[in-house]
Amino acid sequence: MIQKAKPSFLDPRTKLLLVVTVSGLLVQCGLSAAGQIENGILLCIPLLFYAAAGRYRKAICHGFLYAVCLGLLAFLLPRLSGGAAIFLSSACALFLKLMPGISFGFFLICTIEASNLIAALDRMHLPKGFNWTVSMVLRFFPTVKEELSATWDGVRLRGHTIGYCLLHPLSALVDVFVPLIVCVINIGDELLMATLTKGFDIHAKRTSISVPKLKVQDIVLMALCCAGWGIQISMK
Amino acid sequence: MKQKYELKDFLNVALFVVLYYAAFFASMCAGYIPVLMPLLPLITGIVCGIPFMLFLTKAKKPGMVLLMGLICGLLSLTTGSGIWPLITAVAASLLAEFILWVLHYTSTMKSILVYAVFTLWDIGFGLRLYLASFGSYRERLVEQHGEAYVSQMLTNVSGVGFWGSIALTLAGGILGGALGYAVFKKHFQRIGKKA
Repeated sequence: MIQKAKPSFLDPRTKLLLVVTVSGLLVQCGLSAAGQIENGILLCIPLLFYAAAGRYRKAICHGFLYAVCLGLLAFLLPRLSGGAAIFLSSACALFLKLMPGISFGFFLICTIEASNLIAALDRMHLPKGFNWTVSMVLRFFPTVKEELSATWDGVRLRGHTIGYCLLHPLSALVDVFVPLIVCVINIGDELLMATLTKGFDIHAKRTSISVPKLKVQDIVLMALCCAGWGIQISMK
Repeated sequence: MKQKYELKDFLNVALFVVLYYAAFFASMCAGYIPVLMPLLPLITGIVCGIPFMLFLTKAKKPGMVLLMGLICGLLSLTTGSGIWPLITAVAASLLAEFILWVLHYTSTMKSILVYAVFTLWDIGFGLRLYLASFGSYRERLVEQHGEAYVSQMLTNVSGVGFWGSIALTLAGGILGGALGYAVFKKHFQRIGKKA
């Protein structure tokens, strides 16, 4: 008897909408009191999702980084002036505005399964090629991250430190990119064989062990996202 | 030339989108140092040349570059860069597709022009800055980043100007494309990767 796969708590479409909403609304936040409260709420959302998924270490680590950034802005920035103040304020602003969205994106990549995502995107009646490409992009980010780490270890073994890379940027680019691209292309060939074996290129309606359905929690979160966008647009 | 799209084509697009966007995002982080902001199109163009030029050796069908540009634009949208990079990504990709079609999808030195045109999607990130002459958008920037940062940023940006930025983008694209082509000739052809 075929056992159905345990459905995930959230539909992949909901997760995608959450990522877009958190990233989009964060960029709009200002430095006013309301903007800071909005920023704080949006910062906590990825941490809550990491904790709910049992990834407490990531939640604590990211929360600590946000707290350090906020502390630097609150206590160190008033004591600086000139170029140092501009650099610190811009670096912390970048971190606080982009990292929650990227953190949420990493959560998406870690928790979403390619088969679930393809099944969910198929229900949105988007072109198959687009669905496959988006799923494979999300699937490849962790792979490229691992290969980049291994490539960087190889570069360091040859005695090329960060100082060397800054002094010889073109050489460093080639040293990193060439082995990385070769590794990734080889992995891509293996993935292609695996997907062809699974019958991805057959022109017939695919069935999936998981049937994506929007549940109550998906509808509630989607409604909250729409409300967030509505409030943001009405405030403009 | 085969027109039917295969799984291999979408896989290649996905692979090189990840490589290209990772390099692009890393090089874009330099833009928050105000002094480097005017040079950002040059930096990103050079850094991202290698993955894109190798991608062109595999882009033998119409629509692959457009799909790559569309996904890059969507990734920019999800990382909070707004709608403009998506619009410029689609426009630049369409133009790059036209040039590729004229070149009959052969990978030669002329394909450096394809990359140079594709990099024009970078303009979307800075387009809001050039629109900052409108008072309400400047006020929002000041509210988000502070007066000192915005004043210096706009001074640096206005020094280069919109057309200067386009020229820098094209220059970065040509240099990056030349670097990518040279790397392909030296390293990848040697190990049997065909154009």
